[in-house]
Amino acid sequence: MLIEGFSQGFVATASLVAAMFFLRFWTRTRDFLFLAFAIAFAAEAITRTITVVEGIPDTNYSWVYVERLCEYLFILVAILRKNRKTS
Amino acid sequence: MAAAVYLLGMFVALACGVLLARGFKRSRQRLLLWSSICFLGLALSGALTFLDLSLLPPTIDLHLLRRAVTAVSMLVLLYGLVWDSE
Amino acid sequence: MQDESLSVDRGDSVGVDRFIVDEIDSVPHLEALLLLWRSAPRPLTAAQIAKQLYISHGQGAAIAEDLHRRGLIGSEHNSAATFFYDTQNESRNRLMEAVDATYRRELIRISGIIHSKPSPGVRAFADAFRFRKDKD
Repeated sequence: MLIEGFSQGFVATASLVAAMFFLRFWTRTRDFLFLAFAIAFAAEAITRTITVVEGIPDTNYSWVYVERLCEYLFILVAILRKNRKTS
Repeated sequence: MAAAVYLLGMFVALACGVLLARGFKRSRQRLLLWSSICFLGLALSGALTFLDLSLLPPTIDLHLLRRAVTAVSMLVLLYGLVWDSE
Repeated sequence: MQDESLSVDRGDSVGVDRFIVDEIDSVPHLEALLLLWRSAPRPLTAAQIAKQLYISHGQGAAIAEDLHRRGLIGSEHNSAATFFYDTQNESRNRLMEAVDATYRRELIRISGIIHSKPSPGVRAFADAFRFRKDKD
């Protein structure tokens, strides 16, 4: 479907741009949290692109949701790590 | 199994959204307003995905709604990053 | 100029730099704070602050609010909102003296520190994810 491709492409591009902003914030602050967000959003962009190109479902598909799981855990770990270092 | 992942995703996004909303109240920095809205929107999208995968019958498909919510959330984030990050 | 700064208490200049990095968002912020410090305990309105700094009233008000929110200055909300430097804290007063002196001597270096900081929005974003808010 055309709208599927469009919406995935939209979100993938937006995620990629967000990732680049977060990457820039990371170079300025050296705060790992920004790098984590950059990686997570970049991974989103890549995942969505692959699901459209390969024509596979976006959610209930083995490596897709495993990858998403890794993203979420990565963010969580980055947040916790930030706070462990503060104390 | 997949549904549980999206539930987790919803919680992570919700946590980010709430932390950023709190930060916005403290600092009044608009970047936090927009990114908070984005993450809350992504949390909503995660919740809808969870519902779609686990609780709702196959006759109801939230696919397009989820896509729309995610797209609007990312648009809000981009707006904030472009205009309010310097 | 360089020799003079070397003979100054090293501890002082480290404290000053730390303060600038932690609390000062821009050069007008620093100048507003120093303005109030030098006028202490006399209160000034946002308009007066803006006039002294040659910035717009809106900018002056925003800067004063920022400084107030960080706890660097006090404010009275009578008929007009006025801001003042609260001289109660002795160690803070000594720090302000050092900041004032250092800024007069080393304007370029201090401005350089301020300008090389990531924007306040980015810093606030990072700070939002800190659970224990003792620094800010």
